[in-house]
Amino acid sequence: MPNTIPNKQRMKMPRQPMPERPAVERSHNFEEVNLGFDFDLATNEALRCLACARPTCTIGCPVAVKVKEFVALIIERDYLGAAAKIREDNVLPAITGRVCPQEDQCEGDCLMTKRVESLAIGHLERFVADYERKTGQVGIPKNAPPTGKRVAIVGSGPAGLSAAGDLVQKGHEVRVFEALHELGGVLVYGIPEFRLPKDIVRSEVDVLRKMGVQFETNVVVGKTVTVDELLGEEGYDAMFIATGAGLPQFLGVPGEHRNGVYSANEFLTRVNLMRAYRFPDYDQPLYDCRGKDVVVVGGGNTAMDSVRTALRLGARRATLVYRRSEEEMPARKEEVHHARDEGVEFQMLTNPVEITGDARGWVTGVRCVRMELGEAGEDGRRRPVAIPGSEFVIDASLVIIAVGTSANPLIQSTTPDLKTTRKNYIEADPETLQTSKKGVFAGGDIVTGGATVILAMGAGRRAARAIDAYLTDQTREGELMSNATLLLKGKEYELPVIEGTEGETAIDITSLRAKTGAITYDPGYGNTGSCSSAITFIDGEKGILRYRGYDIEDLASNASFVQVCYLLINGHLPTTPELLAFDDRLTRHSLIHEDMKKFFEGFPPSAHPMAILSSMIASLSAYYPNNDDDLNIIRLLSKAKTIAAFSYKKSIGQPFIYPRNELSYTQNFMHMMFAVPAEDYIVTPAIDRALNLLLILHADHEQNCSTSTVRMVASSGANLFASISAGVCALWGPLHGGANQLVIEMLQQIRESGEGAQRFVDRAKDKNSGFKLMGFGHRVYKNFDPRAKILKKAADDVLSSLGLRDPLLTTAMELEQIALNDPYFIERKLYPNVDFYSGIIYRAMGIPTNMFTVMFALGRLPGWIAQWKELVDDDKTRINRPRQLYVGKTVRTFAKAEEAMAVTA
Amino acid sequence: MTFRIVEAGILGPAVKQFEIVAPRVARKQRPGQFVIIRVHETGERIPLTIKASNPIRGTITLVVQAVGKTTSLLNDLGAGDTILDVVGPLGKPSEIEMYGRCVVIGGGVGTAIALPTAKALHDAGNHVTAILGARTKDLLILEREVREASDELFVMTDDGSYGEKGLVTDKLRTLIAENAVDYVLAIGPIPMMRAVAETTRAAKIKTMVSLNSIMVDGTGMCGGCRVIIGNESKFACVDGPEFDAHTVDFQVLMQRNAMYREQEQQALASYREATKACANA
Repeated sequence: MPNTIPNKQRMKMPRQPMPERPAVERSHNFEEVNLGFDFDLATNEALRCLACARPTCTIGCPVAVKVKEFVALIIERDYLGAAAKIREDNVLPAITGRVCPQEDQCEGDCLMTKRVESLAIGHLERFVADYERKTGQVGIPKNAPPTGKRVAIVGSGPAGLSAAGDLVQKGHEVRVFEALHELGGVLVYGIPEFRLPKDIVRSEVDVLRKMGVQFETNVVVGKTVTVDELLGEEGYDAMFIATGAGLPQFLGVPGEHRNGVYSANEFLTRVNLMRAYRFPDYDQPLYDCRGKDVVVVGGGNTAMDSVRTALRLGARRATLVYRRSEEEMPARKEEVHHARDEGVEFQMLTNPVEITGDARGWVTGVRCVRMELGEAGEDGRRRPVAIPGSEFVIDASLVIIAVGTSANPLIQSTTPDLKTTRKNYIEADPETLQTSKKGVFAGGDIVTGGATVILAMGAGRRAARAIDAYLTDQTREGELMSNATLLLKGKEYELPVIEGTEGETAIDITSLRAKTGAITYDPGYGNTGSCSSAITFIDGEKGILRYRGYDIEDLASNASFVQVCYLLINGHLPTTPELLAFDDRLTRHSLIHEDMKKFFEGFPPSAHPMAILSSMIASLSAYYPNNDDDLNIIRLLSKAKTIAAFSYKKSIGQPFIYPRNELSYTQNFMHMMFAVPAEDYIVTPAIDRALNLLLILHADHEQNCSTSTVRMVASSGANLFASISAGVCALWGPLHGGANQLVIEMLQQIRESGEGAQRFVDRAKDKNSGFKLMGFGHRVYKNFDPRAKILKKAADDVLSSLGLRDPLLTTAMELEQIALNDPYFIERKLYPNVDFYSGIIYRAMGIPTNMFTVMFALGRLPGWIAQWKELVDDDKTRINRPRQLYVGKTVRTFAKAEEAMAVTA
Repeated sequence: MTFRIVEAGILGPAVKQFEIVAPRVARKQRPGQFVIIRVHETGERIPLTIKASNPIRGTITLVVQAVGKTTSLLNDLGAGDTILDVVGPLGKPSEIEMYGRCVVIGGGVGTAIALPTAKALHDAGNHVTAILGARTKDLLILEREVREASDELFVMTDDGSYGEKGLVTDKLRTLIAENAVDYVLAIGPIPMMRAVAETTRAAKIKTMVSLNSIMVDGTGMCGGCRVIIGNESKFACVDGPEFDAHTVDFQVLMQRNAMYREQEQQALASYREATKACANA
């Protein structure tokens, strides 16, 4: 049914009035003031629309709602269609229909405004949004296919919500972080129930949730998590900061600390968010202003909300104090009109100079001065000037300050590369809202300072557009980046470039030989990624070592070795029941087959324990030939420590000591090592802790020699025990696992020479001496080995708890002190490394030097197992088969023997 | 998402310790910081300082003394129960530096708040002397943990039932007289913190106190926690909670903390009534 009424006629139709709850009734409760249009009012109002060819209303709308289209649908009684039309541009119509300053936007630009009254666009918007909500048939727009890009939005106020709606529709994954416990930002803590019922906010948020937007409350970005962490560890590709208005401003007059003085933010938050008006049903307390006088200072919407709230809480007299005249008040016209109807007293051109109080610190009144408007200031508004001698006091027991806010610094202070304005608001391009930080956009009050809901929503929409464009560009760049060009003998080849989660770049050469016939040359594999792995991350430059994403420092100070075993092998930390079950299985599988004890007899007493360990581990495959990998992993972890301890007992000719099930993994090992049938061995807490630490610190170190060996052997399909046994052999070598043994041998050398540590330090500095200090610096860690720092403390603890007087350890401490203070060592970053301290601790524990590599192997076992499992579980695993560059003789023919002899002779 | 209590234990009369699953907070917490919690849907938001955190377990530890309705309600919870909202870590962490000789003073439940800072000062290489104050022996908490985190410990009780009889400031005065003190941290009841500030003022010893003002959001948004620091208005939630004790206006702090006394008493009384009714039913 198109509108057939001629335009001239339409201009004569009166604007339909919004039905309101009577002022007397409403000023005492929190029910919504405006009751909303009914069908007739809506139709009659919609028929007034001139349906202009150039719709100035849409141009005047910060989010460009298609006004004439949705109004036409109201005339056709297609209310759901009308709502869907609005939702194309505005995800929160029930809210904006209530709180937008329409008179300054769409309605202000309506052609009819000049002649008669404007179309009631806000009321119509609210009408269709309410209709839609009441029917429960919210038209959820369809999202574009997933782009795989993730956007974090900070703040769930109007800017954040509108950006979230737009971005999720573009196919991006969107997560909104909210600092408070409820979603909606200013819509729930600032705007009162009587102006915007909270149920409406909740249902608008639910629509977004149905569209796929994720929400997380109780996250204060800048504190709980930083911008850099969201873009880094948490993997967001872009961010929109919409944290809103920040810290409340006060007047700076005497007495503002008196009890009974609130910022509008606090007063409204207590009432709206915390429902303090329903105390004691709700626990949050609020000053009881029933029968009291209340003064609100300010002229904006927040001041209006505060003064009307005070009335509803039972104030006897509610007065609004504003330093300019009513004309200059920034509040919405409708709110001013409502406030007046409800009985708010207006004291215009009045400014507080002091808040008076009693001896107990409570407010008694506001001393004010009358103002007059003087010259225009920088902003073009006439500046209020105090009239001398005009002071007077307004009695009050409650004073609410609503004079604006300043920027909250929480994000800015923890994001150093985010540029801010002089007043500490975030600097953003007015069009794209791009900040100084790549991928980070900002909008709403945190950029502009306090403004309106719809302006914030407009910012949200602009940001969404810019973020979408940015992510699209990034995808394109990513595609360009994802190839490397190889120029070989005048011909170009494209090779894919892949990136790890920590940003390492690798050129994928799997197709190199097939495409070019060439191979890469990298003896020692120093530049070759032999696999991709999700187990351990090392950044040698920064001194980072992480297992499954956890910093080694975290694990060392909080986890046990058994927890770390579980973490490495399974990829996540065990829950308490998981840990108990795992620990129990480890305990129950610690015995070795009695027949295996005979193997020990076959070794000479001087046998290196690594020879015994590797043979025994390989032999386990003979006892457990099935392919129950899960169980075999438990068996191996548990029995390895038993084998290690037995090999020690064998070397010193003592009887084997069986494990005891009431002991922990580490205690059990020490028990089997040092108890004898005649005497128990008690493990002190310091030793237990140190052993846990040492094992944890050695538990994995990504693709080193022994680990690569395990993977190499496993790639042929060899069983777990055989693969790990090979790893043990690789670790045996002095360049790999023997380093801490060398430290002790060096200390012995220093000790025996009787020359003192300083002499040796001097010799180490002299390049020609040929002497090298063992246990200083590291090939991978160019800075400080994170493990060494942890071990230094453990070494101190163990030594002090045991009170040892081992001369070798005294030498070690001397050496450490010299090295830590000698500029030569400091400049070259030659800090004592993990081998240095681990050697000392093992020595202090009484573990003999030739057992050091065995201890290393015990620690490394979970790492090897995790790497083995990762390889076996990967469907794409192929047998490892490196190539070579042949540099031997080229083809020659076999000659008769005598000729060959002649040649050589 | 709610926040589960995994362990709960009693530290003293009306004082309980809770280990709560809050992985994000646990990851970021530094000594001196706090969380804001809301126990249930109609609950109020209250700040509680974090005693410890374990980023691996994803938990934080809070110590709660039942004084009002919310803290009483909390102390009626146990392992397995949940808390609706936990947000943090908020506030600035304690400034941990190499000060030299430090004295850390804990009064009552303030001991739990002072403990992580004492530990951090100690780990940073400071010589830490701890003084714990309590009215009587039974009210003393966390003695063993404080002892482990410090080089020496003195306990002062008002009635002499344990340690030495006297006030924490008596001991502090002796310590200052015996040896130069470079840094003092005092956390406890306001009168105690004020007395400590007066004790160290003349000697100009750097003295920090942690202020427990009334807060709502804890992020600087409401300004309810404003305190006067050296004649300037500061927000305890974002500028604190620790401040230089010699610049704090304790009178205003005490006055503002009493703002809701009536409502607090009313809420506590009706909560006690209700729980008694439950117990009798």
